Amino acid sequence: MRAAVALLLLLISTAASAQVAVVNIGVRDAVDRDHLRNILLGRVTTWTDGTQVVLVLANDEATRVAVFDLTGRDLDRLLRGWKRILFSGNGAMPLSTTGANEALALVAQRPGAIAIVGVTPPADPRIRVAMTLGAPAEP
Amino acid sequence: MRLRRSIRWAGQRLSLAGRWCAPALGIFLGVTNAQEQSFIEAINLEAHGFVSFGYLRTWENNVYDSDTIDGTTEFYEAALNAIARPWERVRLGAQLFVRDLGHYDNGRVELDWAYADFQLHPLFDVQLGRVKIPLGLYNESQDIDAARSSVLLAQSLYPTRLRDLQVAVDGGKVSGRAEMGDAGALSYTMFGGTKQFDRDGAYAAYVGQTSRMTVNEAAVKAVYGGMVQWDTPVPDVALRFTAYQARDIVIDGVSLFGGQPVHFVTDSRSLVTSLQWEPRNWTFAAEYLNIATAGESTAGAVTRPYEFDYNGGYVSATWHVRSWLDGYVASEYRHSEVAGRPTSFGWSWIAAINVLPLRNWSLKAEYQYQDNAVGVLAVENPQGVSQSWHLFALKTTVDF
Repeated sequence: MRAAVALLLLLISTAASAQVAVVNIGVRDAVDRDHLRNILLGRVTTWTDGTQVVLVLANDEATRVAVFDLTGRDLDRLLRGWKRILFSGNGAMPLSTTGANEALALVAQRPGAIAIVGVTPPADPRIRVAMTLGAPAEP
Repeated sequence: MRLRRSIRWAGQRLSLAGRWCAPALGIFLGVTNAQEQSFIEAINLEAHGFVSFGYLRTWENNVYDSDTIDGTTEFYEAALNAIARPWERVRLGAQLFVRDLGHYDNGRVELDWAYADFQLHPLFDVQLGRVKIPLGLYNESQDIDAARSSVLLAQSLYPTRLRDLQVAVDGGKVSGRAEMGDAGALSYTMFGGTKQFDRDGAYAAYVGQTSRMTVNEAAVKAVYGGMVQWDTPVPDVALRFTAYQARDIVIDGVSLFGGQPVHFVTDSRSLVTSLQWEPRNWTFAAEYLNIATAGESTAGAVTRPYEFDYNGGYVSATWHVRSWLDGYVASEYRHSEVAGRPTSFGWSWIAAINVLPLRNWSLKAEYQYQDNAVGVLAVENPQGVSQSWHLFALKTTVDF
């Protein structure tokens, strides 16, 4: 019974937690859903000042859910699209991390970096929240 | 259980390969021990690659070789690349590519692309070096098995044996993208350069086979063209136009009959119109290609003009059933003319399935029914060329 309640609470918290798009502090651009979608799909590769977009993808549930909500594709299919860009010499793969904290650390370090995380980012002068995605539907 | 353990083991090996390749490159570049990690991090060096193995079996006609009716495993490709981002707006990269396709390429290693890319503005990205060029939706990704669900791309637009004809140029390209609010977005690429074909490469081998000659030299003096893509306001619908011009395709060689010198000079122009629609679990594509070619051939003291026109197109649908399963169907039409007279035309029907046990591992099977003999060579079919024939292909690819 306890296990069932714990599982239910976990599901509720996952569904209700809001994902946020976090960018390196050097990124001045406003980010909306369309912009973020085009970044995820590899269609937008530079910020307006010419800096390369460095996409950071955490291999966690929050990122999977957000990617599906924004693009209609699961993470594996999204990455297959990026392989087309990579092996044709038109770009580099998104940086991959195991979780949100590692993704946030990369965003803080790398100019032009952006990540979607399902946690409230810590106060860090090197990053800023560019947009809140809300609680997207499960894939 | 054993299978699951094997799959997990393969996944771990792939992950390790990716992790070790970048340091290995760092060492190769002359950086050692303590410097190695900081050097790799400083220039943001990463390495990727893929390897594919396949099996081809045809009925009625041989293609790519003279023994595919018996089945062949001479069907593999592999690539290894390194990409560095040493500065914010600069990306450097190079890729080696190797393949065997029956009679063609036979494991010859080539520099697929090598570039310096300068991202100056969203509207203005400059790439110099050996660069891949857009021609239709998939020319740049012809070799990338992981990026599609079928074993072979639509042969009406992307003939596998002629990949080196149009896949890249030595020169440069400029590209950009402009957001247009409610009107969607506009992307463009303009490219130009020259091209030298390897005499042991697929294009030279193909010319040698069809013209019964030994090719000594093949090159294009000037290649230029452009692509415009409109991402329409209709979600996930894109319309693309591409134009490609090759000036002075020069081929020199020796006739297999009599040993007299043979010289070709050709101009070729290609136009492609493409439409792609990618609703949630589907990818629909339709493309149409027109090629107009004209030139002169000189054998000994005799010079003759020639003309060749080609029209081809396809429609395809890919159903992304699950993250690990895709289904693909397509229909193609091809029509070629020499000096205004039809020489070959007809339809093809294709079905394929793509299973992905792991994110980096795919297994594909494909069946084609061909009601045309475009691209079927008499030299590979001494028993005679059949108008109707079948092809079955299997392929597995791993990448990192």
